[in-house]
Formats: sequence, structure tokens, C-alpha cells
Amino acid sequence: MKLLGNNRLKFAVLLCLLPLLFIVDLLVGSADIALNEIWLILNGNPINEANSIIVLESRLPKAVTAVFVGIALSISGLLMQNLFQNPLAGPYILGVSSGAGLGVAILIMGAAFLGLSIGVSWSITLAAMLGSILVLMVLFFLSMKIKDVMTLLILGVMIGAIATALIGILQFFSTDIQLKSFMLWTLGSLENVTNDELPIIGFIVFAASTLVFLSSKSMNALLLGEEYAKSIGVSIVKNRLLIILCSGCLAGVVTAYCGPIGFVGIVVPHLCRLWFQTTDHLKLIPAVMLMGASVLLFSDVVSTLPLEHVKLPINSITALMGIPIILWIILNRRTISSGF
Amino acid sequence: MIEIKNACIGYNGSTKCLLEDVHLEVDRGEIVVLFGDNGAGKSTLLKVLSKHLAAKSGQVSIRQKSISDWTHKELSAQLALVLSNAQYNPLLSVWEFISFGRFRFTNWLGIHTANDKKIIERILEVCDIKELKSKKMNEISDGEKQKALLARALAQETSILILDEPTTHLDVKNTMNILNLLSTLSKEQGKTIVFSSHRISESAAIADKIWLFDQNKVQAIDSNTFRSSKKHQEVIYGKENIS
Repeated sequence: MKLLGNNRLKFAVLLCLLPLLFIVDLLVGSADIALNEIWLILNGNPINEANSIIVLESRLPKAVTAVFVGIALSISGLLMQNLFQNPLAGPYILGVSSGAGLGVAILIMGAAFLGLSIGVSWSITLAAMLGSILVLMVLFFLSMKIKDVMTLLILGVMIGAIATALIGILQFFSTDIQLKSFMLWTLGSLENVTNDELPIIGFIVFAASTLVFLSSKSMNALLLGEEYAKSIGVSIVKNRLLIILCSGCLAGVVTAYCGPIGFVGIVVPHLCRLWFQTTDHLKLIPAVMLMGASVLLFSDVVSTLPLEHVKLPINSITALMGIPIILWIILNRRTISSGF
Repeated sequence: MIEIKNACIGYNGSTKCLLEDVHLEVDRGEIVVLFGDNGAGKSTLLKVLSKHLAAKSGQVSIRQKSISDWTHKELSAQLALVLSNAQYNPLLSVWEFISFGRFRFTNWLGIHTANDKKIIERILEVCDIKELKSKKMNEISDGEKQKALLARALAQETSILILDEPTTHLDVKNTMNILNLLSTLSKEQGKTIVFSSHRISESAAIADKIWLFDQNKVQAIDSNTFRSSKKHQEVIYGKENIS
């Protein structure tokens, strides 16, 4: 297999699109800051101190977060689609994001109940990741008993509903302060991430993506069926565990900081498979990373543009853009089975 | 090469023996063909030989080593498998599909060397599918897919081939081509080949041994004896169909 094959031009398009959208994302906002001023600020020679703070403390971390979130959700979706051999799998639909929410709810409300204060980012991240991984583990064990992919999807939706119901019960017994703290988290957006927290997300995204990329060879074989993959020497348990851990960590860390952002995880891997006409993970993983980051940056720009001083919730934008694409995928049976 | 002693073989999740008291042997370079009705246990036995299913009791060994002591990775260097319910990835080209046979030879990224490519090209030619190599798997016929499956198994370069109904979707001419290829591989390269088939006379003609599945038993018969025995033919064709 060639590393890039005949897809050089498509990669070049994505490689140009990403920095372009990154710059546009830095440009849009309530304050008018010109491109040359942004350039000076980034080079450490600001003209205006206030604009410098806006760019360095708000827009830049938000744009970098969008890149990390786009990569994390897209790879997480790609991994779940591989694990369940199901084109409709993704962190949001399978209830993995709800699992992350439940983890955080237990942490925030439980800690308040025990009289502890939750201010450390790592604990929320860990709780969200554990919640995601737990949901994936349950789904994975169910998938060993139930082979029908549609039943599994419905089970995923049900597990998500259970997690949401449990969150509701926790909220019912919570105090106003606990509730407020949790609600603020669920509203989450790309803007909540500070410069100090970015390295945490960056580290997890980089580590998980690298691990996944290094497992491309085995993941390709898994697409030809478990029995065949085994017969050529692929360790099924090791690979499935790796997929669960990486996709759980990726979906968890995003949900921890930015709240549940839906549909990116399903749509981006599909778009890449269709555009690149490949299921080779050696090509798909970099493609999904570039396209995922671009989609999130684009969504962020769209959420900023319509109203001058108010920003629309990013989850709504990704849903509005993603759902029509999923509907198109469902209606087009030939496309839905591509790669599975 | 392959030995089964006193084995009980059954479906996954069931405690019942589909095949009882199985005693079978395959020597190096032999061709063994499995004949029997649908549901007689041919595919189940092939899955036991390739470690995809464990025997309920008894011993199964490959190269004098119990099959439970082989890891799948180690077995992949000894034995290539073609399943009747193989999964195809429609976005893969025929070349890419066959290249999975080189899995154990490639580096951690799965990049093929010039030697891998040379071997794949040779196998494409041997299996008569060279002109299909750029086509996607969903653009070729069932018979062509079957040839691609065999080619993928050959690319694994193992001394044992386990094939579950490798000629089902092939026309007569292509069936003869594939059977002749299997015969050549056995004679010239000493490959041990075990396959199931419903193409009785054509397959028996190249076989050294027949494993006949009848009433929860497997009987090993010399292929010449099988061809001349009315009793054995009746098991396959049915008493009422033999005049």
C-alpha cells in the first residue's frame, strides 16, 4: 500500500484549507481586528493592547481548541465505525458523549455532596473519559452477543438515554449551586478552554491519534472481518481494547471541555471515505484529522458570523450541518455500505 | 502435517457433537477434499483446523504441535484460510484486497516492498485476474471474487491451504483452471491443500484423499476407491439418484 497514493491533490486541498480557515477564525468576532494586526500580535509586536488580549487570550485558544476538537471527534467516530462495523456509529449517537456527561455529573454533584471543590481540569477530564470508556465497554460486550448492527445502534441510543436519565436524577437531588455548576458545563463551547488547559487536550489528542495511526495496519485488516483478521495474525482483543480506550479518551476529553458536540464524528469519516475513495487507515486518519479540524473551524466561523455580539452554540451549528449529510447517507444505501 | 485424533466437533455455543470420534490425517503435499451434505459439518471441521473453533474433545495438531499451542500469528505463517462467508470491503481494489495476504511480511505501517509487489503480480497472473487488479471489489463478479480470495490466500505463502468451497461461484472452465492450479501447487510446491466442494467428479480427480461426511461421522477414503465405489457415491448423490 502506498502511503499517499493518488490522493496527493486532495491532501494538498485540505492542507491549504486548514490554515485558511484558522486565519478566518482568528479574524471573525465582535472586535474588528485586521489581518496585519493579528500577524503583528502573533509575532509579539501588538499595536493595541486590548486587541492583543482578545487575540491571544480568546481567539487563538478558541481556534486551537477547534482544531483539537475536530481531530478528536473525527478520529473517535472513525474508530467507533471500525469497531462496530457500522457507518452510523459515532460518539454522540452511541451515547458515548452522554456517558462522558454522566461521569462529569457524578463528579461535580458527588464532590459537592462530599464537600469537595472541583476546580482541577484533570479531574473533569478523567471523569468524562471514564464515562465514555464505560459506555463503550458496555456496548462492546453487547456487540459480542448481538451481531446485528442496527440493534447495537438502538442499544447505544438507549444507553445514552439511561445516562441522560441518571443525570436528571442527579440534578433532581442537587442544590442550586451544584446544578448551576453542571449546567454551565453542559452549555460548554470552544471558548471555555484556557491557554493552561490547551496542553491537556493537545496531549491526549496527539497521544491517541499517534497510537491509532500506528495501528492502521491492523485496523485495515479488521475491516475484512474478525475471522480473517485473526487468520493473518491480528490480535483482535488488543486492537479492540486500543480502539475503545483511544476513542473513549478522545470523545471524553472533548466533552469534558466543550460539552457534547454532535455529528462531526459520524460525518467527517464518511466524507473522507467518499472523497478519497479509500478505507485505508494510513490515508484516512490524516484525512480525517485535516477535514475534522477544518469542519470545526468552519462551524466556529459560522456560529460567530450571523450576530454581531452573540455567538450561536457550536453544537447547534454542527447538528444543522451534519444531520442533512447523515440523512443523505441513510437514503443512499449504496453509500451507507461503502467500506463495511 | 495435520492430525485429528478422537475428536468431537460441534458448533460454537453448543455442547453437542456434530461429528463424533473423528480420526483423520493429512500428509505433506496431499490434497484432501471434503464431500458431504449441507450442514454435515465440513465448514465446522475446516474452522477447527484453522483454530477458529475449538474441538469439544480430542486432539488436533499441526506439524506435531497441538493447535491450542499455536498462536494465530504463528499459524498465519503455516496456514492460509479461505472462508465461504468472506467479507469484502467494496472500496478496496482487487490488488489491495490480495495484498492483505502479505500482512505478515510487511512493516508496522503495512507498506509493501518491491518483492511483495512482485509476488502479488505473479499471483494475479497465476489466478488469471491480472486485468482486474485496479477494479474495486464491488465491481467484480462472484466468481472473480472467489479467484481473488484464493489469490489472497496464495499471497500468504504458507505450506497449508484450507479452502471452504473455493469453486462454488465458478463456471466449469474456471473451476477446472482453479482445480488444476491447486493440483500444480501440491505437486510442484508441496503445498498441503484441504478443501470442501460440491463439484464431486472434478474435485475427486485431483484429490489424494476424500473425507466423506455422513451421519455424524467422517470417513477418509482414497480418491481412486471413492471414484469406483457405488456405496460412497450413494452418500453424495443419494441412493435414489444412482442407477
